[in-house]
Amino acid sequence: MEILSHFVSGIMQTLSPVTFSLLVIGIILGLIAGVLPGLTVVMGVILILPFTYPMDTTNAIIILTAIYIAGTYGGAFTSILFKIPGEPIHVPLLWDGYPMARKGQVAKALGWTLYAAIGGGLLAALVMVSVSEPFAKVALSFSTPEYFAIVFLGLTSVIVLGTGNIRQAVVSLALGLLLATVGVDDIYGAQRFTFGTAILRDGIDYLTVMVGTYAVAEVISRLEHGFVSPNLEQAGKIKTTFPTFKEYRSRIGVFLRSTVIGTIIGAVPGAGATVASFVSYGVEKQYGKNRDEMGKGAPEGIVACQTAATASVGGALVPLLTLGIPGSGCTAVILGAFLLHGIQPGPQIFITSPDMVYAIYGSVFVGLAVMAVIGYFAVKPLCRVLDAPEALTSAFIMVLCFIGGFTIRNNITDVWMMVIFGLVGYFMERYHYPIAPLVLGAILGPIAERAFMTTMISFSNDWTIFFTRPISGVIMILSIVSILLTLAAPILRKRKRQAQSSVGQ
Amino acid sequence: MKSVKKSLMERLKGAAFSGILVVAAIYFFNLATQFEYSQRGEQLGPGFWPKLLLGIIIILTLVDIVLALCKGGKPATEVSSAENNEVLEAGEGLQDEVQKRYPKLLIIGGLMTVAYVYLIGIIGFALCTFFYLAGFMYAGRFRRHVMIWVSSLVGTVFLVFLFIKVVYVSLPTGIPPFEGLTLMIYSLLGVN
Repeated sequence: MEILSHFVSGIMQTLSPVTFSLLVIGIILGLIAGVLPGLTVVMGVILILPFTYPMDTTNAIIILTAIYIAGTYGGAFTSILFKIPGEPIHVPLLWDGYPMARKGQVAKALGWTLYAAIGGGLLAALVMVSVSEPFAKVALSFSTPEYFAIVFLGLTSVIVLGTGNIRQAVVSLALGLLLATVGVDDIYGAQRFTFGTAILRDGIDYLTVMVGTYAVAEVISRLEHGFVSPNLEQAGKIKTTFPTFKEYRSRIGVFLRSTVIGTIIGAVPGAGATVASFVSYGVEKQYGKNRDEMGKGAPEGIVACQTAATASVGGALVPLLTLGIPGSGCTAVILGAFLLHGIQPGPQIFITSPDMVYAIYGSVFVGLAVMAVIGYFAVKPLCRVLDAPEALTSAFIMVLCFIGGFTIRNNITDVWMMVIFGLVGYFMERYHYPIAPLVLGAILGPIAERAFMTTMISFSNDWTIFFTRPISGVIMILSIVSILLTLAAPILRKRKRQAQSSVGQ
Repeated sequence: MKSVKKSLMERLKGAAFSGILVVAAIYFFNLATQFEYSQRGEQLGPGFWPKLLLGIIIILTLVDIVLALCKGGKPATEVSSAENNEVLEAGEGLQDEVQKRYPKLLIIGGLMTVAYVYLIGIIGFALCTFFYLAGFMYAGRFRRHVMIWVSSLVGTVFLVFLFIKVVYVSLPTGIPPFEGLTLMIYSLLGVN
C-alpha cells in the first residue's frame, strides 16, 4: 500500500507543468537521438547532461530518463523504413521490420514496434516499481563482498554478452578499470599515476572517458568516412496501424519472454538495451514457435527485439536506484547526474528521498504514454531529421561534447582528456578492441576496487570470503561459469563442425 | 622472398598496437610498485589493484603479439560487434562509400579539434566555436556555403545564450584583446 501511495504521488509530480514539459522535451530529444544514425542514445543523454545542471535533481533525472526510454524506440523508424538502424539496438529490426515493410506492411510493422515498445516498457516498469523497494531493503544488508560480486557480474557480463575477441575485451576492460585508479586512492590516500599534476590528482572522470570514446571517436570515425549520407528511398505514406487483438494474442508468448529477457539483462550491470535486443531476438530465433518465419518479415522478430530493448530501461533503473550501480551506459550518465547534484543513489535513497524515486518511476509510465502518442503521430516529421546534413549535425555534436567535457569540473584539461580518449576510442575500433568494456571499467572501477580492497582489509586478505558468503558466492560462481562457458563455446563449436564434416565424408 | 618479407611486415603491423600496449603496461606496472603510503600490517596497499590489472593486460597482450606474429594479419575477431557496425546491409552503393576512408579528412578534423581546444582559452568560446563549426562542416565535405556560415553563426549565438544565460556555465572568454570582443558579444546578447 505504501508503494502504491508513493507511486501515485510520483505520477502526480510528473504531471506538474514544468516536469511534464521537460518530460515531453526529453521524449522528443530521445526520438531524434534514436533516429539519427550518427548519434546514439547514450550520446544523446551525455549531450543533454550539462543542460540539467541548473535543474532540480528530480527534473534532471526525469528528462535524462525520458531521452533514454524514447531512444530505445526512435531508431526503429529508420530501420523499418529505410534499412538504416538509428541505434545498434535496432539492427535486428533490419531482419524482420524492413522485409515486412518491403512486403507493403509498413503501417503494421510500425504498429508492432510501437506495441512492443509500450507494452515491454510498461511491464518492465511495473516490475521495477514492485521489486525496487523490497530489493533495496535486502540490499541494506549487503556488505562489500556482495557489492564486489555484483560489480564482478557486471564486468564479466560485458565480456560474456559481447561479441568479438575475448582477450581484447578483457584488455579493454582492464584498461578501463586502470583509468579509474588514477588519482588519490580512497583507502590509503596514496597518489597513483598523477605525475605530480593537480588535475590528475582529482582522477579521470568517467564522463570524460564516455564522451571521448563514444561520441568524439564516433564523429571522427564518420568524418574519416566522409559523412556519407544515405539516399533515402521514398517511404510513401507513413502511418502506424496497431495489430489486431487476435494477432496480439497469438504472440503473447514472445512478448512476455522478451520482456523478461529485457528486464533481467537490463538489470545486469554492463549489459544494456543492445545486448537485450540481440539476445531476445536470438532466443526467439532458436526456440520460438514461428522461428522458421523469422528473418523474412515476421512480427515475432520485431516484438522480440523492441520489447526487450525498451524493457531493459526498467531493468537498468533497478540496480541504479537500489545499489548505485548503473545497469547500462545511459544509467551511468544518469548516475553522473545524481552525483553532480550531490545525491548518491543506493538503498538509502528510498529512505531519504522516496518522493524523488517515485517521481522518476512515475515519469517512466507517463513517458511511455507520451512516447506512444508522439510515436504514433510524428513518425514522418521525425524521419525528416535524417535530411539534415551529417557534417552539420556532427559539428554541433562535437561542440556540445566539448561543452559537456568542460562543465564536468570547469577545467579545460578535461576537454583535452576527452579529445585524447576520442583518439583512443578511434584507434581501439581500428584495431578491433571493443570500447564498451573500457567505458564500463572506467564507470565501475572505483566501486569494484573499493569493494574489493575494503573486503580484503575487513577479512584479513581472505579472498575466499567472496565464495563462502551465500549471496556473493552464488553471484561469483555464476559469473565464473559464464566466463568458462564463453571460453569453451568456440572449442565446442569447432568440435561439432569437425564431427559434422567427418560424418559428411 | 618478397611475399615472406611482406607477410612479416603485415604480422609486425598486426602486433604493433599490442606492442605499444605491453610496453606502456610494463612502464605503469613499474610505477605502481613505487606508490608512497603508510604500510599497515599485511594490507595489500594501493599498488595491488593496479598491478593486478596491469598484469592481466601484459599477459593477454603478449599472447596477442605471439599469435599475431605466428598466425599473421589482424587479431582474430569472431563476429563483428553489433555496437561497432555503422550501417548493415544498407545497399551496395552506400556500403562501398562507407568502406572508403579519407585519411586527410581525419587529419584535418583532428588538427582542427586540437586547435579548437587550444585556442578556446585564448580567443574565447564564442569566436572559437563559430570558426570551428564552419571549419568542421567544410572538413565534412559539406559545401552549401550560406548554410554553413548562417548555421555556424546562429548555432554559436544560441549556444552562448543557452549555456551562459540559461544554464550558467562560465565558458572561456579568452585573453585580451579577444576577451573584450567576447564580452562585447555577450553584452549584445543581453548576457552580463
